[in-house]
Amino acid sequence: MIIHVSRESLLKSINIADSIVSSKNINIILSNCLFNVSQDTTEIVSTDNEIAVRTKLGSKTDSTISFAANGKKFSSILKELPNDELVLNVNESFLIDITSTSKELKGHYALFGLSPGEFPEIPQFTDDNSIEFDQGFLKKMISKVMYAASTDTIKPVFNGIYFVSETPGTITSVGTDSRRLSLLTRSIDQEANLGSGIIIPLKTIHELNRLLEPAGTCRFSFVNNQCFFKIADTEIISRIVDGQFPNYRQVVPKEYLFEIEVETKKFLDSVRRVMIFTREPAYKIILNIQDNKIILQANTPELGEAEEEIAVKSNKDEKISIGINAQFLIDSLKEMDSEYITCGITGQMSPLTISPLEDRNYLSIIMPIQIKSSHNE
Amino acid sequence: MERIRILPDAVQKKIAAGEVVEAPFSVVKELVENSIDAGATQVDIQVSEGGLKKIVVRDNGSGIHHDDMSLAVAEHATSKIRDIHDIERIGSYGFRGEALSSISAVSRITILSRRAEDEAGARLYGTEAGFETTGYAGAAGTTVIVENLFYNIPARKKFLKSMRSELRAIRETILKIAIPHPHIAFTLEADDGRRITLGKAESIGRRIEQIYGTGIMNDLCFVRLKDLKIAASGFFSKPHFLKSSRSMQILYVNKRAVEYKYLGFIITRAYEAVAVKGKYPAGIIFLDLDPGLVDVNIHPAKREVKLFDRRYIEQLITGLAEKALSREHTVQDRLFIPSEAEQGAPHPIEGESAPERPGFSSSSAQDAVPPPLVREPAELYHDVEESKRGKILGIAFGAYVVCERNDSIFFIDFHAAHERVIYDSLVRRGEKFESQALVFPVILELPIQDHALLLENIEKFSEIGFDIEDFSDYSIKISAVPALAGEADISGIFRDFFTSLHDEREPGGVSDKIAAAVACHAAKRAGDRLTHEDTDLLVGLIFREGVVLRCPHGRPFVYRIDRHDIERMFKRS
Repeated sequence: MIIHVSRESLLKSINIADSIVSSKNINIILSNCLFNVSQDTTEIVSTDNEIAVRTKLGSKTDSTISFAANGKKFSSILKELPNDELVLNVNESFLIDITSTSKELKGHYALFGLSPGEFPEIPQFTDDNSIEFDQGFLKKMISKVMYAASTDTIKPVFNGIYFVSETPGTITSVGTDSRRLSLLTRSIDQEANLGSGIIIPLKTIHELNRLLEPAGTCRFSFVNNQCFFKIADTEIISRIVDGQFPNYRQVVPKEYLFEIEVETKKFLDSVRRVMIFTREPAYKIILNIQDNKIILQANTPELGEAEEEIAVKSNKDEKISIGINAQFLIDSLKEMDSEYITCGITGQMSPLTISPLEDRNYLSIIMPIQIKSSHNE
Repeated sequence: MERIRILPDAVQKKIAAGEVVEAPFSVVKELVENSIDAGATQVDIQVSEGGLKKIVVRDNGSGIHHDDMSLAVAEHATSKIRDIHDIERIGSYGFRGEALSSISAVSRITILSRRAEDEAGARLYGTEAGFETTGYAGAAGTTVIVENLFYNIPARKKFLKSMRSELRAIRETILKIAIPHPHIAFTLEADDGRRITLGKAESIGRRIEQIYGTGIMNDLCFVRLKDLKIAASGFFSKPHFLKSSRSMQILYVNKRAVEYKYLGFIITRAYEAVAVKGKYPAGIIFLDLDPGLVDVNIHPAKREVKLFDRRYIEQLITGLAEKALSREHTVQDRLFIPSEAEQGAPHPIEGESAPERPGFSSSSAQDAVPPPLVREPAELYHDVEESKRGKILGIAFGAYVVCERNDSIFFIDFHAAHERVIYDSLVRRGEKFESQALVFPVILELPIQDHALLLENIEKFSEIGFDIEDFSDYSIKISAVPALAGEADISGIFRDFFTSLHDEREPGGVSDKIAAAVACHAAKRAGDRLTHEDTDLLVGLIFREGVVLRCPHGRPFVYRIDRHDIERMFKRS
């Protein structure tokens, strides 16, 4: 059976589908992509049993066929071919013969495919209760908080991003790894029925973040324990993390001891330099805040020490020293896209709250590191 | 009903002899020990028919004064102690004055002896009527000939095993005595030829090599610990060398091989992490201590001794075995010979502030605190002047750092090494420690007895950086964790902690167990991405002096192959 397809769009689609395929998969068929070819479309499907991708591209053929093939090998050869139309010839034993229509190239490449038989059934997108988002909007909701989510899979609830509609017409996304938390609330011009909120696994979040473009729209829906995203020609189907997201509102300080205003870039650069003199996993630096300045200090035995001073604007004449993970501070400051930020201080053992100066709906909360002295203090 | 009566003299003697002389090997043991006490440098033994027909022990020791000869076989006659106080300070093997008298009660004995300073010695021999003494002018030293052993105790004779196994027991007895006396040459002749030839050796290590062969010697490593009262040393298996019996587990107390029923258990426990079930590591251990601290006089054959503080001795042996395990283990450890050769010379106790071994850490309050052991720096570092961490060649199987350093290749188990480094920084945190507060406190439900245990030890948790509160009858609230724990699984830490707390075989106090559980969960695991910086830092840390080269659970994590071994592998040397 002969299929005519653009090399560029086939390569792009295979790469989208293959990105979630795990090479460690025990199930052989799942290390492949499924190709469903009809008269004018080719659908490429992949899954790792937690998340599935279905993406479509235009192609021409006179019949229908389904086969499975190793996406990595397929994309490797496509990458090396000139950008001319391709002719694929798939026979009954799923041998995929790839020919470029380029006049410059005389070659023959045949990739062994597999029968699609054992490939699991992937549910179809349901339009019920679907919400339409601007892609750029959803991308922000994700990217502004995903850095705070736990990469560790021990606590699944934290290994994802929580979406909830706290009040009608708003949507909030939250990420946390239990040592820090990031929260973003934005208003939308429609009802978002998210019930008590849903937790989308971090792997799905990464996939979405990659697929979402600054412009265009996308649709979202969910049923039971699955959620669906439709972004241009690609659908993502993912499980929803089962579990109760903790009460994050309780963590957000209601009032601060005092607040300071800092120039974002200056602060970020400073922390970056000082952090060089810290060690993982604590990356501990000390922020000494007093007299309208912060003195940042790092001191690590057998490594070295650093000290920097930057000017700030404080709303009270207070004085405090807070130990904090410099990496967390950098992660937060990088996402603050305003020239100045405010830092709400609540105490030595209480959270540090960072927000863009004019936007209290985006919060980054970092728990401090306390330096304790042992015994008879 | 029979009346009570005192047994005839001859019967009394036979009964008493039965305690000391249970088989031919015990005759050999008593006689060879006498030779050593007499300062012999050459001891030759001949046995015939498994020792039942004839045992001859000839030495070049100090000899017996010809006038004392008849006393030698008398009961409770000895030259080794003078009054009861001497028993408390026994430096010789014998002291009870029983051996020759007992042997003579159950055999025909002949003693030939001449002191080097005398022109003539004496010959004593037993007859039907008693003992007779004549002159003797042979070589200086003493020869004891024991013939027809147990001829007058048929019952005992019946219980003896075959001649072959009696001979084997004799051979083992001599070898066991020979190990702590490398400067004495030993030979054993049996009916069918030479069975043992041990020339003088320069050290105990060499003697062990003579007995077990160079191959096994290379599978052992020498370690030493000492404090004011006790010098302990021993040859222990490298982790890969395990035997199917406990035959290489021997304990010497002041050079006397003693039976100590807990020895096997202690060694096995120390090797738990590396030993397979049913396989036993070797441990030839020497304890040298003030004779006043040992009671030898509890067993007629002196096979058992009473030690002043069993718990302390056990900790000492465990400490030795752990030290042996924490060495880098090499295909061939050539370092033991020089370090062993200096044995015997009194060692000044170094005043360096050696790192405390976790098990002896005084922070575990419920442990009776033994006198601190002075840990010598591992011999390996004596010749290493540069503190270079060497060149990291790469990471094998995502888990083992391979690094080149000082003409050796090192394999380092990253996870275990990382565990050790985290553990050490938790245990030796000094004055200050860092505690990471949590956004969401972790609520942990615990079985009721664990809950109580935890509350009892809540101080110790907070000293390591946890912030724990009692939450309800069966749950706790954790609102801060040690910053070093990073993103570790908190409930996993507590699960492991309770498992090790309930496991009585695991050494260490509560604080050590908390630290070990944290370290295990915080350490990078096989498969985690390791940056060059991580490996560089870690390798630098573990090659510092004083770092115990085992993970907190006891597994070694460094393996060394010398350039020399690799060259030999390729037939280049």
